[in-house]
Amino acid sequence: MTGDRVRFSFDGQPMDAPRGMTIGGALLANGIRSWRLTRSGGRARGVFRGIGACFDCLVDVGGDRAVRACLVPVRDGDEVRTCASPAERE
Amino acid sequence: MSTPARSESDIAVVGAGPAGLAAALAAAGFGCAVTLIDSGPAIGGQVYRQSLLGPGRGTGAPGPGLPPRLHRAARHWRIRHLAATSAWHAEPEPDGGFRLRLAGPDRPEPAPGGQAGGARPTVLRARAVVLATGAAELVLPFPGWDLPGVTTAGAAQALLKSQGVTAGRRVLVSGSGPLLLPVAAGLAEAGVRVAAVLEATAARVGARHAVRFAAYPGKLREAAGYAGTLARYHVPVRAGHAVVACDGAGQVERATIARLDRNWRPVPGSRRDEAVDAVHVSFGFSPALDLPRLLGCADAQHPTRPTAAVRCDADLATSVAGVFAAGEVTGVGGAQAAELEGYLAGASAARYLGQIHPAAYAARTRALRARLGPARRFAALLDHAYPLRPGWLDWPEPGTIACRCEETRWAQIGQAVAAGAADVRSVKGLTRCGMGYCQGRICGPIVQYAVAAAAGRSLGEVGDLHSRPVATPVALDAIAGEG
Repeated sequence: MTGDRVRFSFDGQPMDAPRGMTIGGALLANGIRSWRLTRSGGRARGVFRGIGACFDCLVDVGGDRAVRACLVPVRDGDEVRTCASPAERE
Repeated sequence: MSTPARSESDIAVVGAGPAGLAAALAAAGFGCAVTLIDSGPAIGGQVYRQSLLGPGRGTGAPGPGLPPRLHRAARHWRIRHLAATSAWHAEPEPDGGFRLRLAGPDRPEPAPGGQAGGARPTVLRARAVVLATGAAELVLPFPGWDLPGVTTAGAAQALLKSQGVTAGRRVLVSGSGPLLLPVAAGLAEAGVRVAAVLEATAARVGARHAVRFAAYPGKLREAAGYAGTLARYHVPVRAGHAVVACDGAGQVERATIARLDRNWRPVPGSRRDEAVDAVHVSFGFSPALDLPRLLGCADAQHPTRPTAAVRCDADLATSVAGVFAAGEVTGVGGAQAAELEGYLAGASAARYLGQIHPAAYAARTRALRARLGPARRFAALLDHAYPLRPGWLDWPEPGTIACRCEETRWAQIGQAVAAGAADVRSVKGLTRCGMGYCQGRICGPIVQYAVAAAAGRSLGEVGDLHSRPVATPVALDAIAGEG
């Protein structure tokens, strides 16, 4: 999508958001509250501290695993997926 | 793995909030080459957070914009700004200089030329360092505080200011400190139904301090403005209350509000539920000490809060020669004190490098010091007006998450202390709390306070989780690629 909006998907569901938004902002703007399940408890998590410090909002996007949704801008064509068992980042 | 890109600078300034921007401008003004490192996409830091939606695409959120006098840092020819860059390690070098290791964002933007990341150095050598790393928001745990929809008040403000996004439609703002009113006012103006603002500190405690605030009419006007906004939107502000539990299926659906006694213990029979889809919590701030500790800077424990601050002399020199500090990292004092401290620390760093004659330095910093006095007295006043009370230890239940990353339960902290762990490091070893992604940034102060209370020791005696070999989590290839 050109111009002011970016088209992306979350777990296969098509969405769009204003250009410049972070992945976290774009998901919240689309009514999505959580996009990670914790390792041991499988508890749902989304934005908590919102400035890159708490790592609660980790999300998978394209080939990138466990990126901080509160910091990373959403791009055209991004395939954003629930981060179910974040591998140690390497 | 790649060869590290090395870079040199007279002065490295870490943090581009008001303190870091002022320090960079002062040092550059005295002829120093400055590299300004900040993890955000644009200068301004938390308080002057700018819109991500592009120029002329304001988010409509209230709050101060970045003052033009600080914005000059973005264009100064002696200041190189490295945006979206984390300083994840720093160490003194044998020749008296310093080496900082830098990492880019989680997902680098593809540059038009093909090479991701462009000219971002991974190793920066500097002859002096100004630490303006700011402070982290303190959150106290309660049952359900890890449900989606519970965020810090700072997160709610950041989402609104930078993107015009809100996390809920009907919300509560709860905690303690001067951040609650502006966050609630901003949300109300953005169309969020704020069911209430809950300030844990009792009204009569606040009233005791009110008369002293009369000396700061500007600050009172600001607070009155937020209060007026909240009144206009019929948002009640309730002192001596707090959210003490949240509940819901996969996200917040209900919050339990309790009246608190003067020590913040919930008053029996006062609990009532409120239907909300978000709760924004904040209990003040604690200085970000990771880089100062890596550089060997001494710090001082706050007497009553689970936080410490970098120790500085009157010129904002730390205990390590060549390392200076400014802003919240020296003790939480707000944007005005931070900016004044930034100019002073920048000038002190320039003097350290021989760029200013001592007599000129004294003359140039006299007015700054005169203005710093009242700004710091105001900060001390706020610090006393919002004391952290121990009754919050009654809010969590045995099964409440204490460490959000490792999912350590509240009861495990008490069990570790009962088993003989008498400091935070021992509790970490027994329970894994503080070992996850965030490296104890969220649970560190909570565990410090809880261990001190359970072991009957002072906050300083039980230690904290600020000392880490890596200041911010980075990808392994950043470490492997570093020479």
